[in-house]
Formats: sequence, C-alpha cells, structure tokens
Amino acid sequence: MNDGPLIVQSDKTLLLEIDHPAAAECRRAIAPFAELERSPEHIHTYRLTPLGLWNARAAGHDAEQVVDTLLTHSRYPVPHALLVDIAETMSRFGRLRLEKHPTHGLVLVSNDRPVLEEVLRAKKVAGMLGERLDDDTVVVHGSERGNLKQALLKLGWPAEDYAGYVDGEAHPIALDETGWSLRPYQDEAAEAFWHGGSGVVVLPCGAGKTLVGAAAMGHAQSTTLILVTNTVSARQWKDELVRRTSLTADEIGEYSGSVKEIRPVTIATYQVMTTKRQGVYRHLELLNARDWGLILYDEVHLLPAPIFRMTADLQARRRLGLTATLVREDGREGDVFSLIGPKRYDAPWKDIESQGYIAPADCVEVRVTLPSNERLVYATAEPEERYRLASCTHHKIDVVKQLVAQHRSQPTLVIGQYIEQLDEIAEALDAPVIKGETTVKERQRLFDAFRAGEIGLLVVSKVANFSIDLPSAEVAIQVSGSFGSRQEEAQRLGRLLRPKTEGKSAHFYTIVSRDTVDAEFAQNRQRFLAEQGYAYRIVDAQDLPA
Amino acid sequence: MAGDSSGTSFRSLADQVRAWPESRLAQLLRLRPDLATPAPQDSGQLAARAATRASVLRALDRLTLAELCLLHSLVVAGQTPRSEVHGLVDADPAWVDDTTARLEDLALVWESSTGLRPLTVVAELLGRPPEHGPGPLDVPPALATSTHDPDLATRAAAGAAFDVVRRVELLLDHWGSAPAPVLRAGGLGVRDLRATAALLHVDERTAAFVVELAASAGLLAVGAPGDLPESWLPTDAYDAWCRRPAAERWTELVRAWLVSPRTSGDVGARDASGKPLNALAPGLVDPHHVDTRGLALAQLAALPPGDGLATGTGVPSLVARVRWLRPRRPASQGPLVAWATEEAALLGVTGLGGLTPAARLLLDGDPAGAAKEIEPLLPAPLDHILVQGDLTAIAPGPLESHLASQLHQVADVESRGGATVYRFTGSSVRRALDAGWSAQEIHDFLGDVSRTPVPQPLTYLVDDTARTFGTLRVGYAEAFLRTDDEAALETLLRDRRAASLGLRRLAPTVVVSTTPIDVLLPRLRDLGLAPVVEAEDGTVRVARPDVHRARTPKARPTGREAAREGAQLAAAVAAIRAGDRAVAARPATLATGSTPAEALAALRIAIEEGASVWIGYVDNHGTTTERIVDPQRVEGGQLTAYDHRSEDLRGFAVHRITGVRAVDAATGRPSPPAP
Repeated sequence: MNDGPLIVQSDKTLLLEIDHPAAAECRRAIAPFAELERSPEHIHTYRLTPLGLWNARAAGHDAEQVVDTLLTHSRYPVPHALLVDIAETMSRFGRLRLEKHPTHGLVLVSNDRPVLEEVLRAKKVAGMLGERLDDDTVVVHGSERGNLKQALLKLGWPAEDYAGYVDGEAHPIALDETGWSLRPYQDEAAEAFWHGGSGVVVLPCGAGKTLVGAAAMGHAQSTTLILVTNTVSARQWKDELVRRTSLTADEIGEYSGSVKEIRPVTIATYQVMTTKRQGVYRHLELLNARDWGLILYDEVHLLPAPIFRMTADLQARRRLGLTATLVREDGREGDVFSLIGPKRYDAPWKDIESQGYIAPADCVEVRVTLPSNERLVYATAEPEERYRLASCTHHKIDVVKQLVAQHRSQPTLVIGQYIEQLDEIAEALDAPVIKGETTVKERQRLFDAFRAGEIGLLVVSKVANFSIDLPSAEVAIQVSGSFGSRQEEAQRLGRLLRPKTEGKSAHFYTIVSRDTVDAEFAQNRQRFLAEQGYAYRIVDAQDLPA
Repeated sequence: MAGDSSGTSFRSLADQVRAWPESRLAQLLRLRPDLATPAPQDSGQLAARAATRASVLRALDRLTLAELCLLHSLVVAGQTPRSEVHGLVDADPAWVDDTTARLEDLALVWESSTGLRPLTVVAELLGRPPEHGPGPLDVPPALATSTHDPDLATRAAAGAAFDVVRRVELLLDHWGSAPAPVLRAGGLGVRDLRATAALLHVDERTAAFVVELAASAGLLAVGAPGDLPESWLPTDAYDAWCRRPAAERWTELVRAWLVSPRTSGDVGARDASGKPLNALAPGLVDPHHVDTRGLALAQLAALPPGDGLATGTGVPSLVARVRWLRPRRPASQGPLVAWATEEAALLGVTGLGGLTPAARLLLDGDPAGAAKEIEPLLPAPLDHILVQGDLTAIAPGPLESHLASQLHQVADVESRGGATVYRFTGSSVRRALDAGWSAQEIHDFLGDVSRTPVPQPLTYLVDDTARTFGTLRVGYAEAFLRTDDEAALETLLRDRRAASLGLRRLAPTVVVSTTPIDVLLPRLRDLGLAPVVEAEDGTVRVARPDVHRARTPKARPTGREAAREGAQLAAAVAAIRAGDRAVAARPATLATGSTPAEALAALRIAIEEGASVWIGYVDNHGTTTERIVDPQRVEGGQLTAYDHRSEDLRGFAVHRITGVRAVDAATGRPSPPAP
C-alpha cells in the first residue's frame, strides 16, 4: 500500500486529503485533468470528466501521464475500469484535427480512418464538410469551423484546432505597472492563455480577472473586442483599463444601449449584442466592424445562447473567457469548451484567499421562524407562490435591522430578489435602493458614493450580482435569492471578497425562513459555500446578539 | 520415448500398444482420457477404440498447428521410414523427433514394417492441409507485449482485485434484502441487470461478470425465501466468505473463475433464435472455456514479470497464439480468449496486461501464498471518519463492519471506492432517529468516530431534525395497544369481557392497559384479536426485512478428482494387461469338448497346485469372456477364484465355464493342451 494523499473512487471522483504532507504536490499534478468539485476543510473532491481530460490533452498531457499520476499519488490501488476509461476518453481527442490547407483552406484531417468514416456518416456534420481530398482529409467550409467543433464534441470526437488565428489589426497596448504589479497567478493565467491560443481562465470573484484580461491584451497587441454583462460593468472595465494600461480613454469605445462607439478597444454588452429588431440581430456587424485580434468574454458562465452562435463564426480570432466558475446552470459547458476553448488556468478560492489576495469571509445562516398565521398562509399557498411568501416574511426585516445595527460602522449591502421586499427594507432602514429601473447614472452615483464611504448602507437587487466592483463592502445580508442558484451565491460572496484593509474578514449573512422551501434552497447554497471551503454557521434569529 | 519403439516394427497399432511398457500405456490414457472409460478389455480393444472417429477427433482437437502440419505430411506420405521424417517439413529436427514421438504416444501414428503410418481415419478427418504461413513450422506466433514497472502493474491489478471483492459484497448485500427474481427460463432479467450495473457503478458487461462470478463461486444461488417467488439469493457460504479477510475472499473468487465454464461475455448478445441471452441463464456455458482460458493465462504466465499484453495489439496477438495452439477449435475461441483477458483484468489477475505475482501463485495452485502476496496491497479496515462542513463524512478506506453499518443508518452513501463518502441530510438523520437513536447518541457517535471536530452545521442539523422528530410524553402503563383501526379499538373498549383488562384510551388509535403483557396478550387473543408485541423499551424499532440465504451448491474438490483419476488409470492399465494375458493363453481350438466334470477336475488340480488357469466363461448377459484366474475353492457348483482382470476374488458358476486350461503363471504363456 502506498501512503499517498489521493483516493481514487470508482465513480470517477478523486478525494484529496489536504492535511497530507504531499497534498500540494499531488494537487499540482492532478489539477490539469481533474475538475475541482468541492473544497471543504479536510478532503477536496475532484472529478474526472471527459471535458476535463480533453482539456488536459489540449494542454499537452497524455493518458499515460494521467494514469501514472493517479497510480503514483493514490493511497489505494486504482480501479482498473477507471484507468481503461481514462485512456479511452483521452484517446478520442485529437484523432481529428482542423488544419490549414495551402489550396483548400480549412480541412479536417484524421489519423484514424474509421473515426473519420463515422463522423462523415453523422447527420449533424453533413452540411459542414465539403469535398473529400483523400482518405484522411476532408474540406471544411470556412464558416463552419465553430459549428463543426461543436458538433464533433457532441459526437464524442473533439477536434484539435491547428488552423491558427488571424493576427488582427495591430494596436499597441502595454500594462502600466506604476504603483502596482500583476499578481503572480494573474501573470500565470495570462501566459497560460496566450500559449494555449484560446481558452478560459477560471478565477474566483475578486481575484482580479480584469487584470488578466488586460495582461492578455498586452500579449496580443491588437484591437480587442470585450463582451461584458451590463453597462455598469462596461464602464468599470473602461476605468480599469485606462488606469492599468497604456490605453487612453479615447482609444476605448463603449457599445451599449445608449452609446455606440467603435474604437481600437471596444467594450460591448451582451444585451446590446443580443437585441433583435424585426427578428434580426441588429448589432452583429460590430463583430466584423474591425479586424479584431482578440475577443474577451467576461463572465463566460452567463454567455447567452445567441452569443454562442456568433462565436461559432469567430473561430479564427483569439478568444479569452473569464469566469469564476465553469458551472453553467444551463449545462452548456461543452459549448464553452468547443467554441471559446479549453480551460487554461484555474485556482481554487481558498488558495488565493490564503495568499491574501481576497478577504476571508464569515458565513452565517440566520433562521427565522414564521409566526403561525404566516405558516398557515404558506401551507395553503400555491406551490409557485411559496418561495416568494417564505422569502418575503416581515420577520426578516427585523433581523436585517438587528444585523445592520450590529455592523453599524461597516459598509453593508442588503441583497434581495423581490423588489417589494427591497423597497420595504429600504424604507425601514432609510437607505437608498438600486433595482432594475434605477438609471445607469443614478446607479453609478450611488456606487461611487458607497465606494467613497459617503453611504454606509445600500439595498440592491440582482442587478448588482455581476461585475460591480464594490471593494469597500464588508457585510452582505442576503434576504432572498433566485431559488438555489449556486452561481448567484458565488457572485454575491464575490462582492465581499475584495481584500480589506487591516486583514479584516467579511461577513456574509443569509436570512432564511425555517421549515419552508426557502430553507431547502438555502441548503443548496450553503452547500456550495461549504464546498468552496467557507465554514458557515447556522444560528436562530432569537439567538442573535440584540 | 522415441527410443523405445524405434528400430522395431509392428503388424498393427494393437501390436505396438501391446509392446509398450505400462508407463507409456498410462500416458496414452492420460493424454486421451476418453479411451480409459470404461476400462478396455485388452490392447486390441484399446487400439480399436483409439482409432474410432470420435476419439481421434478429440485427439486432433488438442494438437497445435505445427503438430497438425506434421501429421498431415505423414498422411500425405503414406508410410514414412523414421529416417525420412525430417525431410517432410521445415522445422528443427529435434522438434520433429519430439513431435513424432508425441504423435505415437497419442496413438495417432504407429510404426509398421515399412515406416511410420498415421491411422487411416486420421487422413479422413484431417481433410484439407492446415494453413500455415511461411517460415519454420515450430515457431508459434509472437505475443505483442509492452513492459511496465512491475510495481505499478501489481498495484493496478490490486485495485481491480479490491474493487471486484467490494462489488460482489455490495451486490450480494443488496440482493440479500432485495432479491432479484429468477426468470422463468432461468437467469436474471435485463432490467435487473441494468439495476445491478447502476448499483455497482459499472457497465452492464461488467455487472454481468460480477453476477456470474458470484454464482460461480457458490456465493449466489436460486432460493425461494418464505412466500417469495424463486429469487437469486446470497448463499450461506456468502456469510462465511464475508467474514474472511479481503485477500482470501479474492483468491476464492479467482479460483472459482479459473474452473468456471460460464461465458458471461455473451450476456446481452442474441442466440440463434434471436432471443437475448440473460446473465445466469443455464445455457451460458462453453465446454472449451476453461481450457481456452487456462491456455491464455499460461501464455501470459510465460512472460517475464512486468511484461504484459500491449494495449490494442496485445489481445489479438494472444488470440492468434491460442488459435495456433488449438487450430481445430471452433471459431468461438477468439471471443473466449478476449473475454478471458478482459475478465482477468477486471479480477485483478492481470495488471496493465501482465499476470500479477499473486495470480501466478494461484495458477500454481497455492491460494494461501497468493492471499499472502496480495494482502499488503489491499486497504486495511479503518476505525475513523472525517466529518466536513459541507455535511459529508469521508471514510478514507474500508470501515470496520460494525462502524459501517452504524454510519449507514445516520448518513447516505454518496460515492464508493477505496474510500466511502457519506452525506448527512435531514432524512438520513431522521432515519437514525427512526431506528431508535437519540440526538445525543448521534452526537456522541459522531464525536467518537470523527477524527476532525464535528462542524456546527451538522450539530445544528441533528438537533433541528430531532426537534421536529417528536414531542415528549411520559406516563405509566403495563402495556399499550396501538392500531390504525379506530373502530377496532372502539369495539374492544366497549367489549364487556375486556373490562377487567384496565384499558384507557390515550388517542383515537392508542390505548394503554394496567394488565401485564403476558396476561394481556392471551386475553386479547381470546377476544379474537391478533396483536403483535413491540420492543420492551418502547422505542419504535425498524423491522428489518429478513435476510435470506440459499444453500451452497455442492462442488467437487478438484484434488480428490485427480486422485480418483489416477486410481482409475491404474485399474484400466491392469485390466488391459490381464486381458492381453487371457488372449495369449487362449487355446488354439476352443476346448469345446470340456464337460463340466472335466472342468471341475482341472480346477481342482489347479487349486491343489495353486496355479493360474485360463477359463472361458459365459456371464449373466450371455457374453463369453476369457479370464485368467487363480482358483481358491469349488463348492456348491460355484468356483471362488482370484480374477486377474478385476484384481479381486470373484465367484463363477461352474456350469457356465466353457473350458479350463492350465497357464504357466511365470511366463503367462499357455501350457501344452490337456490330453
């Protein structure tokens, strides 16, 4: 028996005992091919998935290496079936390659004829391929590069893309590292992306993904299109780029609902890109407005379906995806893999926290008991009404007041899903509220005031979930959420995790109604926190310090 | 043994066999066991039997391609002087000599005065010449191998070994409480196999193999528990198997697999009539399977440690090798070899394509050594778990069995393997409370077995679940009665005969009594009710379903079989020799004139002299046999004599003796005819 830190389970999970002396070495060895699924305090769970293994193949690892790593670090003998499966899965990647042909443009080449035959007979790829040049080579219609990769992944024969990229229109961009410097992991991430060609960088919220983007632009030295989730986020990107790079405000354009500028670096929102007028996407031409050398996708896990379709046509351009999590609630991880690219860099939250780049957080779930009259209403309500009823109980407002009072001197955010509830809370606390109907200008003003410390308390709806940089927030109180969304939990926690002065830790409260669906959904979210390594406590509302 | 017979020639095969020493005769019977049962009368009969189509076919089926080629050349040549055999084929002369001798040993070829002659029937059965590529005959096809670190290979194999043991245990534990029904045609239904695959986290092929393996090892059999229909159940041998260390459990499974003719690889395929073949179906047997598997493993055993079949090309090369060794076997041989290697890998008999040291010991018939060899590679049972903030508990190895069963009540299993991941949920905690645990007991249990501090959310979960689990009521009563049938309670309470029982109603469905239970119970029965007793401490105990067992099918131990076979061979050889002497002693003209009186006289003389005599004897079935006997006594028309054929004292009716003649016991040759 080997005394390794790793236990390989037959259901393709890997358990890593982190207190083991060899744990760090083992983690480095398995990280390229295994997806970190949960990282609670003692044992981390990784999962072997076809995508993960193909990611590893794309990064130049082979099955022999993977098997060897498992056998070397595993405490117990490794299930044979699993090893066979790994070898089988990994061997599927790269049997087909997309290459450039001197006369025919893009071609699909295979070193395994039966695979090519199988693929050629598949209905899904029928329209994408042209003339067969020889036994192993088929012409691919240039416009189908992305669609073909997507279809081949679905068939289980992911293609390796060797067809290269266009350089795009050159534009000098350099990082301006005066008074700050790129953190080591940000540098590694940008390097890993650049050498991989295209792909996704996974970093926790607050870890400075924008700077990874800026560093990537520094590598590309070309015109860049940045796609972000909303207008506020677009402005933040712009500010950040002006501050951190050699770019000036004039070189950066915003392309959103209100402004339509096309400049060497253009920041567009997903919303404007997916706006249809008379059944047509009106702003698609932006994608071809310039000869972009790099396309940046912020928050890849939120990428809307139409953008995927557009991305399929952009396969000749370098693409970088930035995200905190590869988990998509719609399960389209495969599309991210085939259209944007494989995962190029990944670092667990706790790691970056322990390096002091993001703040530690104290997570508390506060349970309130519904009074019996509300319980009766809840019990007789229609199922689809129940969550709203449970989430919006008036008792939560008292708890919010209590918590706000407790953290009086600390900048606090109250986050919720239901507007009426937020309005009520805002009234009770006498605090400004930001919701969907708040104008961009007003939002900007409130966020700026909060950042500057002029306002200590802000009530926000889900508009603040993404890409809003509020580094000063120290306390977040969550009163309701979109059901059990783990991704939302990550985003909201992320708001708090920007590093604090004096190493203070952040507080993250979730208020739930006991014995209702609210508590059930909360369990889902709590589990996510625990799996990310955040210890959380559960307290009853009456036990809170008054 | 080429030297024994070279230089001499014979009139017939029978003649040649008669001249063989006993050891060579015994070898023939060992090589062609079908000749030995029933024991042949004499060399003539043996030779005749050795030339029958059925027997020759069997012998030919066991020849290698090279041997067949040589035999074919001999057939084509007709009669070949021993000196010319070397010229017939392209092969190493020493090999040709050995093979020729082997063909003679097999009694497929004999030496006539004009040279070596194959049996006539051989020519007929061989048909077309066996196909053989260019190059010398005696070089078998090479195996495609690759070399690994023997240590890694052994560990990979041990992983599979541990897995298969764990899977068999998981499966049979499950079937012990939820048995799988037996199909009407025998076997296991497709749906049950699919459920098994899901249970074991494997594909259906592997699931079928695990099921078949358990049955081969006598751990799984058909039984009819109580009033359930016929089902697949763990046997009582399973309980014994479970109590043994993992290493011994593994060796037992592998030994059962080595001698199992079951073809689990066929499960899911369709038979000739298009019906799908089910796992455990009675017809899933191939008589060649054991032999072919043994051959395949023997080829692997011949590789140096660390060498294994190469991925991809290894199995086809092994199939080619086995096909070369047994070219006349049916086409099913290819799949059989492929299955054997696949199953060997699943069992941990091979690791990274090579045979493990433990498996080598098993093939050599040393299960104890094999168990000792593999034991340090298997995980040892643990007595602790790690509890984490995400409400999971991880047992980083197999748990001691009592600990595992306790944990199973409190938490759900989420992932299995070398380690087990448990998850605590509201319903799993409630299950423990249902099973009679108190919240405090759960806390204590977790505190005891967890090597890490129990996280607050888990403590909270247990308390929160216990909070809603029930409210406290304390009272005094000798007994209580509970039923869902309110009307029945109502009837009981109003029954005048029940007045003396001291009944009091607590709830519509609950009544307590001041009468002790041993008095109350018969009284209630007298009133026509059918009560059952609850546990004494008043907690609600989960009625665990009975765990059922079937009887272990009897299997003959292989060692005794070999001994018996040896004894039978010796007996057969002795019988043939006695028959030969009887024929040699036969009078030139049958002593038809012998009257019973003359016969009696001759027998008496023989008794006096203590000599052996030849007798002609008509047995119960009217068959005339000839025997050499040593007469002991004659009385009541019955001769008692030592019969050389059966090597025992026998009785013979004097009136059935057709003739008696003296035999020279020393030479075994007949004396001059009696006057």
